[in-house]
Amino acid sequence: MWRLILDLLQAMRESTLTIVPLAVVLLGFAWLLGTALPAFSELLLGAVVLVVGLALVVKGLELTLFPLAEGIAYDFVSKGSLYWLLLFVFTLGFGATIAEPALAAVAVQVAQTALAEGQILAGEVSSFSWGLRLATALGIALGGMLGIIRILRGWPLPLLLLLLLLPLSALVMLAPPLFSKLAFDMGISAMSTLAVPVIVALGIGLAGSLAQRSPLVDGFGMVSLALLLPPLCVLLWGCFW
Amino acid sequence: MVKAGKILLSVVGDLLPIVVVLAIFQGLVLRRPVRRPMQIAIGLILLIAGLALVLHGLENTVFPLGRVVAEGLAAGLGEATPGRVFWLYLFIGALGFAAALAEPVLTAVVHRATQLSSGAIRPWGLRLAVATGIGLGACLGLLRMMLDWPLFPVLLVLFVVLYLQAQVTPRMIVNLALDAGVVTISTVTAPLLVAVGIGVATQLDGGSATDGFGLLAVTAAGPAVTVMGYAQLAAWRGQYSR
Repeated sequence: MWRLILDLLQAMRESTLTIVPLAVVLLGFAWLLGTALPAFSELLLGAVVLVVGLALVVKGLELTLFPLAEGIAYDFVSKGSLYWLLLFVFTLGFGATIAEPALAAVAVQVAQTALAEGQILAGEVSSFSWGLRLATALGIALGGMLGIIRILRGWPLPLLLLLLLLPLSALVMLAPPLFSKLAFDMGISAMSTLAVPVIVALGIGLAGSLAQRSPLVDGFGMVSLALLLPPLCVLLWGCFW
Repeated sequence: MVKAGKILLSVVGDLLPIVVVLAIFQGLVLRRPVRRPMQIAIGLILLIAGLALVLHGLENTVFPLGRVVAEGLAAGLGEATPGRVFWLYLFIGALGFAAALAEPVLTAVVHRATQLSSGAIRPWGLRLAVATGIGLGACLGLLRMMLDWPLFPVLLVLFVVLYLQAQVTPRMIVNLALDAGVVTISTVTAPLLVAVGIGVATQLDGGSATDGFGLLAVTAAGPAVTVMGYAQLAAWRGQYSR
């Protein structure tokens, strides 16, 4: 118990340091522009809430999602059920993305903007935003699977990313321009504070439990595929829109 | 009170699918008990409370301030004087840098990377390299928007640069560097950058809000460049001092 409290205090010291630059930038520019600032007491309260909240999130991630995901990857390897691992990462990626509120908000906003600019019709708003979410979720799920396969086979990540750009260049030319504009932001918008740690930890756990792979060298690289796989799926869907 | 309840509900809703998928596979497929259930329970409470606090603090203090400043700087871009444009780039660069540092997922991932490298990766060095990359990437993203360059060719060039840079970077850092952008552009950074992007896009000549897209994708490539650069610098300095 004491250990936990000391850890939390340590984390709060760190989170205080990490939010000082943000406070300086925002307040400094607001002051330069002569914007009316909120009352000092309100700013202080906001800062305290953020310092405590950020510390709790960091500790919470380190106590739960990191060990859970690393442990489950280890269990899949020790049981020898790598197909189940692929199914697991697909389900996790798809489920977490489709349920992600930030992505839902972005998708609705995109659909509204496209409607306002006459790129889609009024009756298509809901199917457009749902299609965007489904395509993105599929991309995250496939990206997770590709990431696992990459670790198992030992493929070099920079080359893999470069090769993924080949089909993307063709699709960018084939899909309507609206899709090429928005596709590349979807994966990043979908990867939240909760999904990223789980997927990162899965890679670390998998690489760590394979004798010939190193968790540091091979284990990272899972989430970078979220830059390219969701655009691939969104653009493919766009070709049939 | 109602608002706090709403935030808490959305956090739980966000966490639920992940926990359910983990539980189903751990229990039904692997049939292994969860290790250290007490630690997990405490951690989940910390995580939910922490995320609710962070979202509350961001929505009530940080985002309103960011939006006001972004709108103030973007207004009057029509008759853009060099001075105004300079302040806008300085703002988005500084904002990206500062927001990246505050990002909790980056903190957690940096801790793990430091542990795995048994201290060879310095936490603050890595963090500052990532934050610098987000700042520079955001400036490049803004430049692309303002000059109306097409998005894909810019990304193509960036990924070719990354590929070439990876060939001369210590292998230990390459994958971590490529992950850094997606890891960092999250709860704090994404909404702040998007606010600036949309603010600028709607002010540009014949601009529409859809021109604001692509800012995050370009920004995400920034940390990969700077983290690999940082590792190369550290490697060269090591050789030199030997």
